[in-house]
Amino acid sequence: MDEHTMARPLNILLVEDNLDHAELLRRTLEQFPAAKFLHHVEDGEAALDYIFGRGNFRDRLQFPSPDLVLLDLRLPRLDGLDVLRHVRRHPTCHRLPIVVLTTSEAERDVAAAYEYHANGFVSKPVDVQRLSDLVDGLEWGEASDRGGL
Amino acid sequence: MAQQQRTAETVQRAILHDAAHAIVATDLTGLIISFNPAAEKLAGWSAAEVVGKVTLASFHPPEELAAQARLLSERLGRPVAPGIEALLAEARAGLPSATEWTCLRKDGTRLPVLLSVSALRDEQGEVFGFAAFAADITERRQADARLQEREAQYRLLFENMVTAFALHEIICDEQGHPVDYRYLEVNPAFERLTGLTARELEGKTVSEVLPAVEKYWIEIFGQVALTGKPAAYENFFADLGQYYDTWVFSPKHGQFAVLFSDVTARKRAEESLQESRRLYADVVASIPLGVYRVSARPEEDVLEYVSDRFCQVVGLPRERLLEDERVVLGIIHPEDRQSFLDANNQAYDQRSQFQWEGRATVRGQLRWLRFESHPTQLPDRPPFWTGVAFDVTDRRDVEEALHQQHSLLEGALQATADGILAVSSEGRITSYNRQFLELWRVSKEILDTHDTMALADYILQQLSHPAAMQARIRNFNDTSRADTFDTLEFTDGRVYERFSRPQMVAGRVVGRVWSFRDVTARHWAVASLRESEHKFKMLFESTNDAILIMDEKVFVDCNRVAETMFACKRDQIIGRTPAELSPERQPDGRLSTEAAEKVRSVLAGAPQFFEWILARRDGTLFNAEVSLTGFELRGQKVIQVIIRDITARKLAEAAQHEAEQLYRTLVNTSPDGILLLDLTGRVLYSSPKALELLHGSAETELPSLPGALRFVGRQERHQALALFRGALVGIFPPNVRLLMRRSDGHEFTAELNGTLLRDGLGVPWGILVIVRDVTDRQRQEDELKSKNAELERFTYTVSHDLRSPLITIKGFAGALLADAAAGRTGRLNEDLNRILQAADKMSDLLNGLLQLSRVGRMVNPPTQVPMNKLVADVLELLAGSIAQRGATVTVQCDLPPAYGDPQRLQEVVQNLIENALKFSPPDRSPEIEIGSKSVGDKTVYFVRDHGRGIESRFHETIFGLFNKLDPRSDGTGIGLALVRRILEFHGGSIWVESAGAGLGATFYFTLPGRKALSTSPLNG
Repeated sequence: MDEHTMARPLNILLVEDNLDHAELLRRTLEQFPAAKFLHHVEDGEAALDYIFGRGNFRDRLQFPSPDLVLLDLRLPRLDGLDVLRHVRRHPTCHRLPIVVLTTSEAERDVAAAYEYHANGFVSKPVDVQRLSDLVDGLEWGEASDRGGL
Repeated sequence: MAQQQRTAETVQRAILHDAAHAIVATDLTGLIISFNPAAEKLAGWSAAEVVGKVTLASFHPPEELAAQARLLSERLGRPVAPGIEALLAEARAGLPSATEWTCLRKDGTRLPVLLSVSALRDEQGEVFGFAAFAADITERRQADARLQEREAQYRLLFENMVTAFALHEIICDEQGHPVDYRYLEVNPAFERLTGLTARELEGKTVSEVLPAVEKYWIEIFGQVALTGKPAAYENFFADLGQYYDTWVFSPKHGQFAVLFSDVTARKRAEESLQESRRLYADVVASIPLGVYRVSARPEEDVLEYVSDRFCQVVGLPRERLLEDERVVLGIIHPEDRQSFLDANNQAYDQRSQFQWEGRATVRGQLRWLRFESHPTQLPDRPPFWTGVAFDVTDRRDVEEALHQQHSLLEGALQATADGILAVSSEGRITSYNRQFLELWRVSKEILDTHDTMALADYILQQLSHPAAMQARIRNFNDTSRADTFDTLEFTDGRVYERFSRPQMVAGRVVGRVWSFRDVTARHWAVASLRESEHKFKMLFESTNDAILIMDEKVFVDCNRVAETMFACKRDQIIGRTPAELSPERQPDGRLSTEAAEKVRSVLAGAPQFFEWILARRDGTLFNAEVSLTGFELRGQKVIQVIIRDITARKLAEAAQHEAEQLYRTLVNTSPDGILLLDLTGRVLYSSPKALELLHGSAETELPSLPGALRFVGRQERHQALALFRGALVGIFPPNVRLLMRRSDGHEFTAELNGTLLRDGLGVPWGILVIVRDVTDRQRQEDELKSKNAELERFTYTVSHDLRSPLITIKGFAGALLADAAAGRTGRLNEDLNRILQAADKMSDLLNGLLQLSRVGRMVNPPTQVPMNKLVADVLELLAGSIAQRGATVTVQCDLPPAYGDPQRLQEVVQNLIENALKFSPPDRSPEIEIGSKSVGDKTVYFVRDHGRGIESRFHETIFGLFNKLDPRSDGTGIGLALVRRILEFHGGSIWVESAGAGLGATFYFTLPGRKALSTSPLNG
């Protein structure tokens, strides 16, 4: 975590349909000092609304634009991969760092995640160290697409 | 006395005057006192000039006088003074003198004289004068000189003559018989002849030097020497090998001279001449010509010589001919005499060759004679003609005959239809007829050029194969002895026969005669006939079938194949009846002798074709195909029998039949359909199974040949065509799946295997397609595939969905631990509850899985299920929930019965109704409809609600395992998955239609009838 990111806390958007898992993650992030603000949506549609600042999340003061999205793949209403796709296609936020949460390390999921240009994945239950490393690994403020490699 | 004295004086004077000799009288001193005319003549002085003036000595040169004086001095022994004394000394002495002196004449010339001086004495015998007689001895001298010359010449001759000469004197005995002779003189030739030199011979006798000489020679020589009669004879000296003419003569009595002439050459020449003469005589005798020589004199001709032959030719004896040559004229035919005389005269006048031919009567017969002679002119002789006479009667006859023949020939030549051309060996056209011109369309001009080459070219142009005939056409003057025969074909279809033969005279080829005949019509007719005959012959011999000819009873001919076929020789077939070449009975039981019936039919005009068993010579039998045809051969009715051994074919047929049976069996019993297509795609043949597959029943009668494309739907057409096209080039992938359509529209999945069929030559003629109905298998495979996919999804889903609660458990357990360690207890209950809930969730999930798995097992056997009753039962079961929600359920009353497991079907309906209740509208009571409708021949049931509806993107996902539209809702999310599973198991399907959120949803499902069920996995 470099000084730049220390400057202000990361706005992390959590997209997760399982409430228990969401709770677990929330608690994990409590230990993650960089994540000061956390918003949780439960489906893909809501996720996109939030990311693009539309629908219910038009108010950016209330719902600031996320710096990082933690995205579960299995979502109702819009699959995680679709969310990825949509985000990546959009010019404004296709650089938005997105980390995929997965219950398994099935190769299919990993491959798919990277194909859809996720910046990384982490399996649940999320280990805070792993997350920290991941976030550190991301190159903030610079264009970088790790996905698909 | 005076008279006597006067007479004596006259006589004296006469003598003196007329004497031929010069008489000069002188006185004692030599002074001339008398000088006769002869002396005058001799000396050239007149008497007056010399008498009393000069002495005798003045006529003589002083040197002679001196010489004579010296001579006389010696002889007389006393000096004699030169001068007159030299003349007179001898006479004075009384010695006779005759001396040759040179007389000096007046004109200075000199004369040799012989002077004879005698002393004149008176009666006392006292010399008172001298008388000198002088004779001109010029002539004598000349004669002497001549004599000497002759002598010299003679000597020369003697020495040099080739002829050996020897002079001898004969030696006789006392009786006067010659006994020896002596060589007196021999010349060098003689020396050479004898090999003895003159020295050795001269003076010797023959007995001394040549004792070998026979005595009779001595006799002969003696005779000559004594009689003076010369002798001549020939000698042959054997040792010298030479002939000598010996000439013996006697120059003087007692002497004989012998001359030997070497006449060897002459002898030889003579012998040759004799020989020649003999030869000549032989020739003359042997030649068939009479030889004669006639000398032409102004008045008459004289036959100087006639050979025997001549006499024979003219039929007159030699004596008469030589006596009077006019007898020749006598035998000549009166009409020809004039020509004879004319020829004769002409020859004589012009000194030219005499030639005449004419008739004569010889020995009573009329003959033709010919005389030919050439003149020879010798000097001093009248010219003579030497020639030959011969009888040319035969020749004339021949000529006459020839002439007759010629005119006959000429007539024939012009009368014949053939074109004739005669060409001499040198290439000149000697004869031709009109027809030749016509046949060859030759103008007279070309022929008149006598240019055979031009003619040849002209002819060649008209021929159809000029090159082939060129060589033969061009040799119009072929000098061979062969006859030639050609057929000439023309470009315009004419055909000529050309025949030539040499023209011979006396065994020698003098030319060639060509004849041409237009045989166009005949040629083509013959050619056709020949062709036919040839064809027949060819056929007869070269065919692979046996051909036999028979009359109404027996075989009269057969070809080689027949011999082979019956394994016997031709003569073992000829004469036999067909029955004899067959077994006793035919397979159908008929006697082979009934073959005669067939023969009769053929003769009646009906050709026969049938199979028959024949027997070979060795008794073995064979199948044959027999064809009988009747025809006429040289006016006779015969039957042509063609036999083909079909044993092999029969076997092949039997084998083929078996094969066909086998094939048919295979085809008919194969569980797969077999189609035979032609190359255009038409179905030529369908096996019963194929008929079943494509038409629904194996007993279908096909009205026409349908195209194979009829059996595929429109969407599959492209694939089918691609397959077909591939098949045409021999490419047919194995086990191709194609959705096919029966003629009744029923679709089935076919597995196709095909192959391109080729005939014996490799030419494609059709496509064989094996059709296997793999609908079931396809479905099974599809099912398996989908099941596998599902299983995979299932596994994935399960692992995922089961993992979820596990994560919760693990997570919160960890959190609890962390809290416990930190002494935080605030979230203890909450966390533990979460854990328990998660565990429950897992349990539910597992139960749901179990339920799902049970669907694979049929609990109850399928049966007819009355749907109305089933629905009623379900509604009863859910009565509580329905009432709780205040829902209205409407059920169609005539739901068609379904076929399947009642319990399972109940679960389906129950699930659907429960879902409808779950997704009821938020603001009003749910309204649920249950009904059915017909779509085509299927029944579609539906459960409709007017609840929250389902967005279209979820229309499929909702059937997914554990998919919950609303995660917060109750249930495990497997309900619809279960329902689908059950329906699929029954052979049906389910789908949802919903206009969208808030617009309700209708779930449609199908349950196929009994039949489908029978093929479904439910049964096995």
